[in-house]
Order: sequence, then C-alpha cells, then structure tokens
Amino acid sequence: MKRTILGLYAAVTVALMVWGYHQAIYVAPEEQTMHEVQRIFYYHVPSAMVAFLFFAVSLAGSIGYLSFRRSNHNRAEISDAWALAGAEVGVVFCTIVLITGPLWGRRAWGMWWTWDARLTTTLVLWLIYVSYLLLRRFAAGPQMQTLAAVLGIFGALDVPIVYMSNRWWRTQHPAPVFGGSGDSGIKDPKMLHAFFVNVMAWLAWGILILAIRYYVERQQQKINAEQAQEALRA
Amino acid sequence: MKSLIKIFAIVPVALFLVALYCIFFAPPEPVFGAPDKAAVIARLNHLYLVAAYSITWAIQLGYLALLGLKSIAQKQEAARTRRSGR
Repeated sequence: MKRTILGLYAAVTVALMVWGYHQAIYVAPEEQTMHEVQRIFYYHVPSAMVAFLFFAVSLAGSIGYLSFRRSNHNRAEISDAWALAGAEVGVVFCTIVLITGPLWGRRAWGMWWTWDARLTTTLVLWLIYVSYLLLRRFAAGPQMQTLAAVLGIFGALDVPIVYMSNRWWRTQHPAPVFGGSGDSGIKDPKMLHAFFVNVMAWLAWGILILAIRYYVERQQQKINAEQAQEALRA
Repeated sequence: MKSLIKIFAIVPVALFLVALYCIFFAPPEPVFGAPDKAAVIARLNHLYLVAAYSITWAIQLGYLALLGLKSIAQKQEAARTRRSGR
C-alpha cells in the first residue's frame, strides 16, 4: 500500500516537473531586457523557497529533539531524523540557488558574484548548514545530537534575514517577487503561471526527496540501536 | 538494483559535463559594434540557461542516486547485524 502511494506521488511529481519545464521554456514569454537567460528564474526562485521551507523543517525537528530528548526517546529520534533530513535537503536546494544565481548574474550583471546583502546572507546560511552536516558527520558522543540541534536553531535565524535582506538594504539583487514595492514582481500572467507551476513542481520533488532522506535516517537509527543491543549482549 | 543505480548515476555526471561545456566553451563576449553582436548574445544566453538547468538536475539526480546507494548499503548492514546476532 505504502509503495503504491509512493509510486503514485512520484508519478505526479514527474508529471509536474515536465509541465513546469514546458511552461518555463515554451509557454512563458521572453523577458524584454534579459531575454532567454531570465528563464533561470523559474528554477532559481522555487529552489530558494523550498530551501527556506526545509530549513524550517530542520528548525522544528531541532526544537522537537531538544524538547523530547529527556522525556521521550522515540519522539526525540524522530525529531532528530526530521532535523537532519530538512537540513541536508535544504543544503541541496540552497546549493542550486548559489549556482544558478551566479550563472544568471554573469549574463545580467556581467559578473559572477557581488558581496551584496542578499547574496552574502544566502552564502552564510549555506555555510551554517554545511557546518551542521559536517558536525553530524564527524562529531561523536552523546552530545552530538544536542549540539547539532542548537546549531540548527541558530542557522534557521538566518532565514528571515536572507528573506528580508533586499527589503532592509539596498542590494544589486532584483527586487522581491512577492511583498516588494508596487513596481516589483511578475506582471505577465503567463510568466506568473509558469512560476507557480514550477514552485509546485519543485515543492513536490523536494517533499519526495525529504521523505526518502527521512526514511534512510530512521533506518540508520534502527541499525545503530540493533548494533548497540548486540554490543551489550556480547 | 545497485548496478541500476550506478547506471542512473551516469545521468547527473553527463548533465554536469554539459553544464561545464556550456560555460567554459561559450564564445567570448562580443565587442562593441560587432556585426553579429545580437546573435552572439542570444547564443550566450542560451548556453547559460542550458548550464543552469543541467546543473540543477545534475545535483538533484546525483543526490537521489546517493540516497539510493546509501539505502542499499543500509540493507546489507542490517542483514549482517542480524546474521551476527544469531
């Protein structure tokens, strides 16, 4: 039953991805000043939105772990698995943002990178979560999960700063798509439609990857518990 | 299954190479007043778009393949643990 649901969900996700690609490349009109390179936007912005969402999942998981670590071991392990899955898949999406952005910038601005507030805070966010993953990979001992949860909470504090950066400070990065000033955002309905289809598609894909990562982590926790039992018996 | 995932892992590598080709073998920026300036700019824009889309899929499919390999390794490890337990 679970496999059927997963298969159906994967099929819907692939269909959404194909539809999103078709909308971005063939249906959305070409932007007048940036021309074809503007279509990078349909992958860049949804990836950023999904990354933010998954860092929020990691935040919730980290808070959950700290809340349950003394009272309910099973819930703490589940929360920890969500925290790790959210952080890791978030880093994957954030990496895409940090690669597709400079590719667009090279054509639109004539340079790969500039140290403006939006770009710098996004890079800092990525570095924080990479350090979170490195901590989880290389640190050992009973305090590792607690330290990782604290770092996960601090890392998530950067998300609202990244989101607000091009509202609070004058940046070279384009104005916000939503919630900006009156003349910012997408005006063409076909572009807006292509954008929403791609947001849905990347969100569906992200949830699929997140669920797989969570499953893998839970399996690892079970193996670790079995091995610990085995060691005690020996 | 493992060999299937390994074959599947070739796709992100190929996409990554496509992206590198599009960036590093792109024609140089046209000089001011060049007769075919608009055509070169359109070609450059196209190559960078292809690079961005390819690299996105290279990362996503590469990560998916990595998770698949990790899951298979876990199943083998779990079987080993159970065997040694008996």
